[in-house]
Amino acid sequence: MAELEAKIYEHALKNPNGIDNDYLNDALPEHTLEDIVNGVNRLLQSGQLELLQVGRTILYRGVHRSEMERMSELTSDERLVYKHIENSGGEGIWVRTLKQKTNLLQGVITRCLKVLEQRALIKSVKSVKHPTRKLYMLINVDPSSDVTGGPWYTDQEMDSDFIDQLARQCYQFIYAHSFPRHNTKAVYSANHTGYPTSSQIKRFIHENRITNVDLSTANIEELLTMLVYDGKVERVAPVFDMGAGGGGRPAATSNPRTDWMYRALRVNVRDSPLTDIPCGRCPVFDRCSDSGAITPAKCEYFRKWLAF
Amino acid sequence: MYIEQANLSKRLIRECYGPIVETVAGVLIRDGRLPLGLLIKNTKLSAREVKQALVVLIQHGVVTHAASKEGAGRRMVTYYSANTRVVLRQQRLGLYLALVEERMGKEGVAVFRTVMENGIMSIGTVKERLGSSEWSQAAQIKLDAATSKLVRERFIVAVAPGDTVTRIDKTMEAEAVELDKLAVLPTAKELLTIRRMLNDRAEQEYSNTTVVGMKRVAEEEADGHVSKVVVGPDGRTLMVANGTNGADGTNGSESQDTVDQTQCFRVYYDRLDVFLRNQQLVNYFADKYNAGAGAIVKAMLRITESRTKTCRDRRSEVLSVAQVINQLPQDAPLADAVDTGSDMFFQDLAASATSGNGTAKGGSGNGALTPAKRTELAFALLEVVRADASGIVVKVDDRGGGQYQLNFDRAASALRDQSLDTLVHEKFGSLHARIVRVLRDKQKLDEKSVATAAMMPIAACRERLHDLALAGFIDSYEIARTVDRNPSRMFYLWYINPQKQTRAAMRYIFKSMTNIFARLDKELAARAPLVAKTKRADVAADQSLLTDSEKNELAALSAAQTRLEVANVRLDGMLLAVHDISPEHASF
Repeated sequence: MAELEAKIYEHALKNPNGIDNDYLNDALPEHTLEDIVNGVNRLLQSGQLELLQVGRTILYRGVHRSEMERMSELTSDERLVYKHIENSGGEGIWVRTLKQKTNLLQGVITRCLKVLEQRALIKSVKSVKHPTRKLYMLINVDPSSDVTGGPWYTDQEMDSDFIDQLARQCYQFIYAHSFPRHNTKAVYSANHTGYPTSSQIKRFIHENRITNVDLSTANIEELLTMLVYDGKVERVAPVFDMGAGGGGRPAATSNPRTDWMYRALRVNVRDSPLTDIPCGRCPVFDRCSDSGAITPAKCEYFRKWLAF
Repeated sequence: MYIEQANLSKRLIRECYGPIVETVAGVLIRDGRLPLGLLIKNTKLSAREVKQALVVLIQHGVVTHAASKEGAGRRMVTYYSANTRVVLRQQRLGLYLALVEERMGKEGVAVFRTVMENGIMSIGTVKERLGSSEWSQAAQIKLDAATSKLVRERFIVAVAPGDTVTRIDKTMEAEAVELDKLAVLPTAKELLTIRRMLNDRAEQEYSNTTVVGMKRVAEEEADGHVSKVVVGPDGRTLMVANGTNGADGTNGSESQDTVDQTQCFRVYYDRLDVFLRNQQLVNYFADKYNAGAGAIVKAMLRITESRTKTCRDRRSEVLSVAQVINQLPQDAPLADAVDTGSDMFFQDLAASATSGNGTAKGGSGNGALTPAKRTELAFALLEVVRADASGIVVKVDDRGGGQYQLNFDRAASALRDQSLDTLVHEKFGSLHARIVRVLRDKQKLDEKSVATAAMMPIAACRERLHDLALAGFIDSYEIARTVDRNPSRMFYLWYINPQKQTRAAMRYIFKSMTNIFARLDKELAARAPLVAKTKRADVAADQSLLTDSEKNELAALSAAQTRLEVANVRLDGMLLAVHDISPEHASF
């Protein structure tokens, strides 16, 4: 029997995604199903195998010896909490969610978490989406970008300086490609296709080593969208290939996600007529009237403005 | 009605018509529609003064009247109501005069100014005021031509007796006439049908292109030889045109349109706003692209001007490329405007347009551009402005190189959004402006989504959202998660309400304008003795009677006046962009 158990254990370790009864039956034809099932039960009891459920299928996964040693020191509650934390992966799990899934009392969960942290099996991280929540994950797991916020966050806080500097670099690159070099007052024609795309901008950042942070095309597009909302850049639709059978069908190799081009706008320094006068920026504008302590006739801001 | 708008209106009326008229208009603005008796009581003026003030206000279109039957005896009571929109136009008079002078010349602006100053006046009376009977014949012909042009282009329009009646009363009267035709009380559907019919009638009347106030006059001399002096094509020189009778001896008399001397006219301010809006549109494209793009749009707008009555029109007529190219001035800055990169697409278009019906009148242009090249550049620029994200220039057809149309609805939105974004940017900062653009693009969002889209920390985003909400530029929408609508368990979505945003900006504008007037009064009052001294005959004749410090004070007063008046004009330009040019708000 020990030999059968050893074979089952070996097969389980070879398949980290788990094995089921059918697989074992095929792999060990010399043994009966009853023997195999008994062997599996003994391995489950000893902790060398653990159960997984994928959909409606029950699978068995091999537990490594190091893990077994770690688990053998834990109580069943602690083991349960550990398993749920392990299953959450890089997303982490919140205490309240843990309570819902395990149905354990709050005090028990708190004690288990404390023990696991002391044994350096788990760690707590803060999520940028929910700053007041503490999430728990395994100590050797890297938090996902949803938790850390991605490249825009440093130490759980949004790095505005980094974003602004990167945006400035992107804008300068786009500006350099938005107007003809020989005559910056001119514009390109409507069917010009030389405006930079997000993939080209990403390549520019990577080749020039503007930042060490690994940025995806989606990150670059977030930055470019921010520039669009700042009114510095506008998104230009991809030009259809007029030669492709007429009717303006897009080219066969076009990727609708990355083919949007970006064109810089001429940002003319323009002031609003309202803010050109002192009233536009006056901190007591709402209290100003014809009579009372604050009136246009007595206004100090007007006096300075007219004397300027 | 805003308090700020009412205060500003009263201030303007006082400046234009004096304190008594201001009192009467102020009561009408504050209390709304009033009969004469109540008006006298509320103003605490004499009946004579109130009646004289009302005549002035009705003459200038500020007040309208309407009669209705009241009481058991069904006596007729006349109600008066004020229209602040007309009053606020007073600030734009300088711009209107400059516009008229540019297009109609000195004679035209003289006629226009006289009509404007008097509210309603017949052309015969205008000529008497100008003393044109003592002018030379050439000058009189020029004056007649300028007057005809003013009427044809609707800068001044004929006045009918019903024009001074309150519009809503006219509508109600017309509705009452229709209802009287029915034997029984109308159902809701019938009432709706009647109202739709009256609306359609009003629209038809508005769309009517007949120019009222012109008449045809046959001109023929005794020997049957027709000759006349006409104004040349440049609008300034005079030339003699000779014509002969027909071959069969019948009268070959020629006729020309002249203005009816007895017809009364008033200034059509809504029409003039069209030109101011067009100027803003040209500046929009010139700023965004370059002067060449501005020239193309200017040419398109010039063609549409004659058919565009007021800012109410949502779309222009359809224009062909040949029309646009023909309208372009020879010195239009096309040469350095667009880089076609030897694109065959535009060269082919240019070739097809010039070889077909579209005879592009290029001439030799400036020395550098051949007609073909000029056409090619014009095509390319047309496509550039058509591809603009605002969607103002729309291509409706591809025949003959392309047929284009201007969408004034989108133009008004683009100009309004640009003004408001600049205001938010200058008043609050670039990050606030970014939030406004995010909300305009995405409609309703909660604060987390706004922070993600705008790429800013959520705490800072929340603070900025509340700043904008307090100022009235954005609004919030609540969605309850629980039945008891517990505030702590609600979704709060932020969004932009364009009407509310416009109203917030208008309140700021009106109040700022009132403050400027108040400050102007203060500056003048502080130097009142000095100003009185300068008006003395001896000082007016000899400025050296003033001391150096007095001269410095006068210079400071002049600088302050200029600065404040320019600020007022700029604020009025912003009001035009934000509100007056919108087709929903433009009156007709």
